[in-house]
Amino acid sequence: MESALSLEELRDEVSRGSIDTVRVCFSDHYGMLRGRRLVGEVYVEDPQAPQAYCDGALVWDVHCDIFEETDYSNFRTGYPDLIAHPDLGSLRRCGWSERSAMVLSRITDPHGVGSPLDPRGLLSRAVERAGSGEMALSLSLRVGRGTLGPDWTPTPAPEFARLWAEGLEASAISFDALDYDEGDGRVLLSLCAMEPVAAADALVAARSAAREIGLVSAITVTTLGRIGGGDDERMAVEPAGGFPGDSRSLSRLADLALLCRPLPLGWPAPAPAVEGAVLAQACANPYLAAAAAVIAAAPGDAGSEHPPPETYEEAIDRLAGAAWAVDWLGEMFAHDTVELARREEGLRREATGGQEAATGWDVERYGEVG
Amino acid sequence: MTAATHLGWVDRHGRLHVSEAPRPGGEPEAVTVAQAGWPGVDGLLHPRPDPSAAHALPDGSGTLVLCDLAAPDGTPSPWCTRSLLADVIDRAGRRSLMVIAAAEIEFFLLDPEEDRPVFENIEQYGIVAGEPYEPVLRRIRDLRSSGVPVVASNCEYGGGQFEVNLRHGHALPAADEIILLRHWAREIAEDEGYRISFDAKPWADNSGSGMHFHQSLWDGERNLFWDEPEHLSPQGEAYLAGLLEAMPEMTMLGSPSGRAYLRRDDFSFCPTSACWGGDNRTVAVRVIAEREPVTRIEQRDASSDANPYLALAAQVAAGLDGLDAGLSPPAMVTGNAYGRDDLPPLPSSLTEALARFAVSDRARGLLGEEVHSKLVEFAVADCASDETSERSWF
Repeated sequence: MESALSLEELRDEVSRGSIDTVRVCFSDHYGMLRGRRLVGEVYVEDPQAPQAYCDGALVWDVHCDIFEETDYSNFRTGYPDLIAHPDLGSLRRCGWSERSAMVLSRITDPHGVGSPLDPRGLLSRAVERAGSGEMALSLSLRVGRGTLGPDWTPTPAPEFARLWAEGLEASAISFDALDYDEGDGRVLLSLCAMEPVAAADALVAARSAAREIGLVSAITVTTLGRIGGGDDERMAVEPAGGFPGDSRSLSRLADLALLCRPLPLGWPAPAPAVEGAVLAQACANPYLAAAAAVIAAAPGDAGSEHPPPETYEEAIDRLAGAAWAVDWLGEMFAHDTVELARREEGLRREATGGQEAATGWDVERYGEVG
Repeated sequence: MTAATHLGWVDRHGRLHVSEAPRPGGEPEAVTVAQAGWPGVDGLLHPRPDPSAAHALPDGSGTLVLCDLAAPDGTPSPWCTRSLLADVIDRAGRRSLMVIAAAEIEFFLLDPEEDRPVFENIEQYGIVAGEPYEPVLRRIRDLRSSGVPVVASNCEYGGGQFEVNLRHGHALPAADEIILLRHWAREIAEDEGYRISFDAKPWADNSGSGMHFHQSLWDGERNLFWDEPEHLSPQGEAYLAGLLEAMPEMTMLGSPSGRAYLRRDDFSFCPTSACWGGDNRTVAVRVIAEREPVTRIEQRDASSDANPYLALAAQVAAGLDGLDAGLSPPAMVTGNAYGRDDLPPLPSSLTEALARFAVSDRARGLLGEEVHSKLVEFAVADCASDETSERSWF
């Protein structure tokens, strides 16, 4: 993968002081960037130096709450380290953040064994196995002024689209379109087609950029749908040549619905694939949504014969029962994804009674996911 | 602007006091022992600049030179905690060993009007959540230009909590750097419109803040703790055993406030028993032994409001005691160390810590009779009041 910023360029920028911070990042289960901000001079001394983090970061829930039902990391294991190995191919400027660059990481345990719960690693393995080509990812968000709440109606924030576009361009994140509808506050970003891991890297970075721009500019940015009973915000994954959409790939995709719709809010779900693209929640983890598209389209057994899940509980049961998918996802990842979702479903049902529209509880719990 | 030289000395609590340096030929103004944090003790202390501890001021306006506090006859004073650490390091030096240390320190950023953390949700390692506070964190990382070797920063496991990592180096400068970091970070935060708290447990409903010390002994270019991956050398094991043996009775030096014990709870990631493990966040001491250059022992119990000279002196002295005695560590803990009744408990309150410290010959030997007795006296007074009520200056 050719990086958007070469190591030589980074070294030059660090020596000139135009970059002083390098974020060594990884994706958690929800596609949120985690990591440290390293002093630029320190990073360039040894750009591939591994960084150790608590491995609970790959299993906790949307609020970093400890998830004890997993065998991967808990108090019984002592929460050992995960090791983040910077992937220099993912190096890029953070054009939306002053004097910053970022690099995404390959995650292993301290013995160098790839983590079964690393979303980026999972996509990478799926792409290699399926021999997938390029894909184009897109994302819709809502932006505006005012405090996010269940009935939020955004007042316009036209500068957001400009700031986001400038930030993405300065980060060498290639996009075909970035459109802002002042009426409903919706921004739609369509990235150019690229190799799947690079595409997901770009979308993770772009979504973080949107969040960060919002935070520092006092603009509300949300991936959360069903605000005021409205539509979902969505992420679309469009493989080159289109998602096949035949009954076999659709049945497999239905079994993997939880990867595309990780939250209990947003059900019943719209069609999982339209016009050659897989549709996911905007708050979905781009690595996992892309992996779902890759895996569903790959040769192999058909999925369940049942129609696509209509509820979150059905989506959980579908993944739990999809023995074929374990071969792709790994037993631990499939198990933990199911258990994490079951816990989330229980929490939401208890708090909201499972209603379809976003509630104040949803805004508080999920408003910053993705 | 003419570059000014300032002198800094550190009180019992680990707070830095700064004044302008005297004119050439002049003497730094003496301070009373009471001003140095030892009320009730008569006498004067004389700041003695340590030229090896000169640091450029973050605003570039001059230089700050850290001082030891000497007795009127010029000899090291027992009331100077920096000198105490230097003495302990000398003890290693007499064996031709270097003590290498590095600190991780946690703190909260506060909204000064609300007196609450700048954000409430837990965002450990969160990249997005940290971005609005980059004006503060970047300036803290920039303290490198003042000789405080910050390596990285990240959001920690508490709403509004951050951690800063410092590069390893010789132990005395490593402790100096904590003093300077806390001092300048406070100025930076206030300059940017925030407050900063290094209090051990600012809020009952949020995480506590710790100060972990990574430490190793070196014989020239050889890491004395290194043996093979995941194993300490016999010397490393003896040092580890010394740390563990001393930890309960020396706890008060790393956790000086009553509030520090509010963070010592099961499942808090703060240790509650004197035990060790490998890659394990529930134990008091982690052994990290992957390659020779990075093999080290991390003691994880001290709180962010500790005086780093006292905390590190207690730890290094304990390790050296273990080395001298050829101690062997107990069995390594694997898995969850919380809730195990077969492990030596660490004090869970200042009262308990005081009880162990007050009768500790080891503490008396390290600090001297007078200093030990004064620390006991202060802690007795703290325990007599509500020992956890006041959030500390830190």
